[in-house]
Amino acid sequence: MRVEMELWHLITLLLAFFSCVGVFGRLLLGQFEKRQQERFAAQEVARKEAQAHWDERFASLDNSAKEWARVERDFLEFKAVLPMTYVIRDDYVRNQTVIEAKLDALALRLENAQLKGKL
Amino acid sequence: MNIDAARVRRESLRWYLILALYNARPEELCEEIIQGTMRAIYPDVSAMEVRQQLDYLADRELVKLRKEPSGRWWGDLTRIGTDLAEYTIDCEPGIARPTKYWAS
Repeated sequence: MRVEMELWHLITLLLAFFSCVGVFGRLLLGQFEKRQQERFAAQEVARKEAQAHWDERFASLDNSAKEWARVERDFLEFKAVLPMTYVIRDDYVRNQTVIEAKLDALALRLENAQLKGKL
Repeated sequence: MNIDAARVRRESLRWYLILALYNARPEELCEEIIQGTMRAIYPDVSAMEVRQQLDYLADRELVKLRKEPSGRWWGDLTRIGTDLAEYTIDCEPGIARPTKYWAS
């Protein structure tokens, strides 16, 4: 089989072929670009979500640190007031027992003095 | 009349031990505090002397002793010991509990 064509036919054919390639290439690039845009948009959304999460997290940590500082300050104030309000149990037992022992000894002396007729 | 100073000291120490444990109720009292309190009354009292009297009181069931394996003793008054400290029951010889001088 023998095909014969004029030069301008060949040129037209080539032009049509390259136009076709160009159109397909452009469609393909358009698709690429569209996918890339979608991907970037999704990444942006994810980034914003992560940012919000970390903002919230850091804010809560900051609040927690403030709360701890407050608790620590309250505890130090409590420690400062403690000796003015309370007596240590050991001290109470010792002091009370010593006072009672002294009272008993005093009562005994008075009794002895009464017996000896000095009072 | 001769006064037996050792007996007076021993029996007084027992009474003071009961007083200390009575003041510590409802918790039991560890030996360090007992020893410190007794030293405040008798500065020359030894740890062994206090333990001997605690043991005597435990034998008379006035005091309940808990002896830790580490060596520390804990003392707690029993019901009879509390009654004795509160003058609810009579005091048998061996403990120098004074008469109830504030009631007469």
